[in-house]
Amino acid sequence: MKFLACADTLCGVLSVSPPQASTRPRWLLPAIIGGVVVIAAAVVLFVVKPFGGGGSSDQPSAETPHFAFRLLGAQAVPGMPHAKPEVLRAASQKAGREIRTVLNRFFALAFLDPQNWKKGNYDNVVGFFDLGVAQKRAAADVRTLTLGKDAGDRFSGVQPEQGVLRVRVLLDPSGHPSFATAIVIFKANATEKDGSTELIVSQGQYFMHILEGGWTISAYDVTRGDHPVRSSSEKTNTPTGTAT
Amino acid sequence: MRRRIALVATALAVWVAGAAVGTTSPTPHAAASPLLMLAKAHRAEFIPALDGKKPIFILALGSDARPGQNIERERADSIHIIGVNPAKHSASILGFPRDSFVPIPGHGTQKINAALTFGGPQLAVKTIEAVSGIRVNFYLITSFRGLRNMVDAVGGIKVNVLVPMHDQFSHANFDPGVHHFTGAQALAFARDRHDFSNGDFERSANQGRLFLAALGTFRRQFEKNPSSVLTWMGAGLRNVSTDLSLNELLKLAFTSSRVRPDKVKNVVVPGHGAVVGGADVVMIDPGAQALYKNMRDDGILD
Repeated sequence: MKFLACADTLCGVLSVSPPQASTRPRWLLPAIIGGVVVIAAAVVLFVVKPFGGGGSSDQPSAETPHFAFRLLGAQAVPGMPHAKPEVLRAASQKAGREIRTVLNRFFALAFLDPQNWKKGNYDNVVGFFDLGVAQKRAAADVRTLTLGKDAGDRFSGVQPEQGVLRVRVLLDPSGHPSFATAIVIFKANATEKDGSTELIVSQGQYFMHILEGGWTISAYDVTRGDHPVRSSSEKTNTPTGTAT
Repeated sequence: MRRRIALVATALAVWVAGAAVGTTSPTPHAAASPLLMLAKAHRAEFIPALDGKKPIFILALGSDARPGQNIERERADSIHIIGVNPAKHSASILGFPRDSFVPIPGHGTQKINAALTFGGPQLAVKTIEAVSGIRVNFYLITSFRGLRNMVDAVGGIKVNVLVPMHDQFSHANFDPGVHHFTGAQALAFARDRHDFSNGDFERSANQGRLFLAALGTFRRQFEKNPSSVLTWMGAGLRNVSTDLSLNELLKLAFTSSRVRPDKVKNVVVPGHGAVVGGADVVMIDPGAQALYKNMRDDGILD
């Protein structure tokens, strides 16, 4: 709306004031146009790429269960000598928060968004990786990096169980975050179509770097494992389930 | 009067050989969450190592700059070309004795270690290129303190000492066998030349062995926890001067994780002692030409 209002104003200036009759400085019109362009670009960047990692389609759909990683810690590795502890702490915490935001969205899309897993289509997940080889490899690894292409055939629902995250961030010689590793453990309960429950576990490391102002995944080493979840009646029959 | 001593460019190791660099945590992996043992798991891994067919040559220099001095304008007493062949996951190290008597562009024929003093890393690169015919892509320079800091930052490196080394000048005091070196010990190991009949040559070879030791340590840490690469990169950034970008550095580190130390040849150019103008120098033997040619083709010494 703001953009439209600005555009209307601009139209008004153009129609009402012929250049030769104007007392405004000659630079005013280009300045206004430039300002509008900058604002529009900022709006687009903010909406489309708040923290990097893809376009507007990388926002989970409304049906996606809420999920957020618990950030267990963020540690800075200084690339400059004599770094002040408070500088390191601030940089690592900021990077930790940003990376958590990106990975919250990444895992929501990869494991929880029914718009994705029901169709077995994870194109918007691949967008979190570097263009080129990384994206190709990620596309080839969707079996491990996401709920899987066959998830729609297997599951009727998925709910997040737990997610923990630990971040290490490398600061460049100027003190700016440049690379980071995110160590994650993600668990979700997936309900099979036969009513049984499967615990989905994804864990590993993501290498990330700053690209165009946002964190993008450049490398990964991830393991995925699924485990049947025993019902409560089954659990009471186990030796460790002894009543007191 | 302090003796002039050779400086080890282990920094390079940090980068290329996966070599050494520091961290805020001596055991970076301990900082990581313990991961679960997953039954019936499947794994996906993508580590963007370099894979081009063209070899990469890096000039690794150890400057004898003392604290407060510019490491790019002092003598380069440790001089190695590191050739990396990304496609073959292989590398080679070619060392030059610091007293090698060679033409330095614009400065006549002098000891090779003066090139850094005369014209910084750019002239050092030009000199090496003129001597060897090998086109150098990048340089790395560290100092005594830089080497020591880097080795300490990565928690030390495991080095196999081949012969007894007991030298009061360098403070090397090692029996043969495998040692876990601190930064100070690594520096002493790299500086010692008095324990060898062919001092400068063996010292250069030992400096190459430090690269390999750093590579081995890096690979072990990386295998346990890939995020340790940040530890090494951080230590390198704090202690090395280089024209490698951060991205290139990271890719080289990833590439190094795939290079087995036992497959890396560590060779010193052949030469013999001579006296020129009253100064002891090393004359490089004509046989070195074959080494240059061998390495030029694919970065690997056969």
